[in-house]
Amino acid sequence: MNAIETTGLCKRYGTKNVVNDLAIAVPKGSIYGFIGRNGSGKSTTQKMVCGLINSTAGEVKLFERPLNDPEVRSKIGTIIEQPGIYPGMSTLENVILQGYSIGIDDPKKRALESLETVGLNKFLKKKAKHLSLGMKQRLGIAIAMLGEPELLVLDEPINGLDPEGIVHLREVISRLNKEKGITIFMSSHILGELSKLATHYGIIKDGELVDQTTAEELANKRKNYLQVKVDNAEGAVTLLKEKMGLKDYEICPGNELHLFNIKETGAVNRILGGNGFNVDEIFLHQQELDEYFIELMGGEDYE
Amino acid sequence: MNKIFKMDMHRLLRSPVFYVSIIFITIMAVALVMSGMSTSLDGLLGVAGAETSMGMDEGAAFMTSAMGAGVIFILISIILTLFVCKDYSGGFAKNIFTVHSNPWDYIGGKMKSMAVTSGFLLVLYTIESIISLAIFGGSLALTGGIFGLIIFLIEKWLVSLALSAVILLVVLFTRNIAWGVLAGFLIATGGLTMGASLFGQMFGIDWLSTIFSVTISGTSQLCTLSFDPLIFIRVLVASAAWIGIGCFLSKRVLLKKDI
Repeated sequence: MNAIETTGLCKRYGTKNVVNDLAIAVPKGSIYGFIGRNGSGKSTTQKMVCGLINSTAGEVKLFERPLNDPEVRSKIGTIIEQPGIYPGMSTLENVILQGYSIGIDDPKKRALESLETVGLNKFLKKKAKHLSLGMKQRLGIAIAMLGEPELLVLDEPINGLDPEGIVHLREVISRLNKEKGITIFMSSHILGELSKLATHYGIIKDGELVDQTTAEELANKRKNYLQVKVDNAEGAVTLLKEKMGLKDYEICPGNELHLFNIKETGAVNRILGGNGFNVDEIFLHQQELDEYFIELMGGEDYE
Repeated sequence: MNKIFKMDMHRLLRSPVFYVSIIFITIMAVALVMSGMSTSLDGLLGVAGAETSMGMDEGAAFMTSAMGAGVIFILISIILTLFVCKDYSGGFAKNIFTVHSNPWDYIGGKMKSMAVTSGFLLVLYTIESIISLAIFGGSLALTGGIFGLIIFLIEKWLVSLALSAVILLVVLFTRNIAWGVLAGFLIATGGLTMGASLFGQMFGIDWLSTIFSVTISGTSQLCTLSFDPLIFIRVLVASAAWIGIGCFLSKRVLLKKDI
């Protein structure tokens, strides 16, 4: 079952299609990383999924039910753009208010539990406007998960956090997904961080989906290569062509070789060493998510 | 609807603006009597023309009607404007509308919380006015008796609901505190109606005054401490019409505008 399924989703502002014919499928229980440049339509898509913006065309289904079904809407928690809070009210009051809004019994008790989960139980009386950015993000998550949602929609939750905040938030998200089975639909600019969590990816460019894949498929799609640094790169290539049938390679400055479709580090090391080559370094390089993303975007600099 | 209502009531009881409003109307009730500006319940409650017989001119009569319940109407406008604008400015509206797909949940919740707030403030101010007159000296005579007073409060409360519906529309449309407060001030004091009425008189457009009698401020000025079934029905119908218009258009705005 898909937690989110969109078909032909469009959003037009004036003459510009911000989102165009978007078809994404977020499997239930997954952590779906939604990637795209600034202005590519990520936030707009997430807002449409939460019913905060009306789509110009197309359809959104949550857990196989229409978006406007009140029952399905109660299953969503969200942080879009920035955590939705009342800055002048305390941390605890903010969560309690959400409790009243969604109609849970004993909102105070549940608010305390929720704040403990995100590690904010020591800041109950602190006004939300006096919290650090990381704490505000955690407060946003406490609010979003109060009604025990089955789907969390998070827009750039890591933005502006310090390293400690990032690690803590990652742990919280991972725990919610693993322990409570909550589906996470999350966008982020910090792709390295996203790759530590995501089980599925959707890549959007100019409002259109350019790739949708699982983490395993993506690992296979990424161009991994064996990086070798030797004293004579051209001589080494000739030898490896002869001994290993090397076809796909790249000679880089500094006598550095990138050998594609070869993963046998030991064999390459033995052949080169046994034929008098000085091997300074040899390791399997895995293409990072951001490198793959930039390549998919046409090799342009990522904003 | 009830969920938003409960949320707003919880918020209201922790909001400084609510307690400032209570203090303000308390000071007003005492100050008006002590200063001698109002020495009767009619005057204190802002019954239109209450003290014209005592030699006040039309402008003073207008000011009288803007006092009492008029001030409470302004306070209601401020409270509602702040509540709605803060829903949006802090982003909490996203939490609300993610869960509540039906715009009536929000509109109904806000209207219910304003109904309770305005009812509370009207009753509190009336009690404070009576106590103030009793302590500092003044006429406690009720022209229409207790029944007339209760009907007067019900009429003013109905008008306050009409005002809330219109302010809700203005604030949902503009999402701006200044616009909400300005609209509240102009409607509550009758400034908008009075200005337009003067304009009508100046250019001989007499039929304008017929229309103005069914505006919110025009309706508010109909209320007196003597029960008149016809006036009660007029207030009821006009208020219901404004509530309907305000809520219906608010729904349209909520459905059209992005959160």
